[in-house]
Amino acid sequence: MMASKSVSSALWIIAFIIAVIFVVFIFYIGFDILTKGLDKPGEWIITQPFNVLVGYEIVGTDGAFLVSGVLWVVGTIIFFMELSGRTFKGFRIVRQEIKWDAIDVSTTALSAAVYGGALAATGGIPIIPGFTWVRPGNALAPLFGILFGIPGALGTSIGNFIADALAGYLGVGSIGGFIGNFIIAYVPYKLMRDHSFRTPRSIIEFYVWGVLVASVWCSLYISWWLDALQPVIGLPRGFIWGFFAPWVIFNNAFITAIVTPILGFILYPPIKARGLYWADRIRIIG
Amino acid sequence: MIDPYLVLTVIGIVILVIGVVLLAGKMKGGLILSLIGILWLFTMGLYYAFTYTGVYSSGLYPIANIIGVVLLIVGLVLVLRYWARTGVLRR
Repeated sequence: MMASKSVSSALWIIAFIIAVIFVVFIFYIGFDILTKGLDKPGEWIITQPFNVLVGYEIVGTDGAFLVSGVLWVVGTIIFFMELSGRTFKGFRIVRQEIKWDAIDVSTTALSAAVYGGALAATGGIPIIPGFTWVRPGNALAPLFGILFGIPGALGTSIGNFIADALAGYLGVGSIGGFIGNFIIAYVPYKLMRDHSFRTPRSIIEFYVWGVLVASVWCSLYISWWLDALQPVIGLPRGFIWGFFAPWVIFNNAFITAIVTPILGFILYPPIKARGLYWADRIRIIG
Repeated sequence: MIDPYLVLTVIGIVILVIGVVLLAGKMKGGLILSLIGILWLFTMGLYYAFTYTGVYSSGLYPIANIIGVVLLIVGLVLVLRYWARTGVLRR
């Protein structure tokens, strides 16, 4: 009894330390951006991996385009696979039954309205003085995936599409944003084993999958799309890989690391109690 | 050169039409595709309204903020009312 209690305490301490490391690291990246200047993205720490990747030529293209291209293909396959009623179970592809009844559809509508509305409502407003880019709405994307599963992730996609129109960014690039935001919600939904935000495992899983992997994947997904459609969209490659990609990672990870665990801890019990939690609404076949 | 906004509008119409056809045939996925189509075209409507009224060129904020708040409140209230009516919130 005493031994299990001390193991539990040790796990909590490890989870707390990991959470603190993530938050401190993200604040450090933010501090680095501010001290070097918003007009010098090439000098930011978070831009350096992209500078290295763009500098390497692999099979006729540069590293950033190649690595992101692989993630783009995988992300797109997952998006259409999940919507067509198939999912991963371990390394197998199995069928899943999402009812897509009035409750699922209203969950998607709720996620879209709240996510899109929240992003647009705070657009251009410095929530923290000097930090116009901090969007509290970003914290909702992984949360909707974690709580509502595919209906929530789809709502996040639609919400981002609406927010693009309200921010003046709507264009062909928004199609990349549509699936990119699905991925932000999908990664923690699918890869976290414990969605309760009440155990050390849940907290550690959230920071690894929901903050780190989801933010990086979303950013690379959209960046590849913008790069591939450069003749149509017209954004210079230097801007895409030297500013946009690192900025999206930082922007998503910053608010997600701080706000999402708090919202998840508060909202998980009422959502679960009312039968709206995704695991209580889908059936995996096979 | 094809107008990219026309392409986006056509994609929205195609999704909505497929959704309505599936819904009419009482097939699964009709409701969600119809919702995606409606919200997609709602977004295109916002874009065209902002373009023709000059909101994009004359300054987006605070109009976009106000619409965002309205969207958030209306969406939240409508869905919560629906969930209350269907008993989801009483569980």
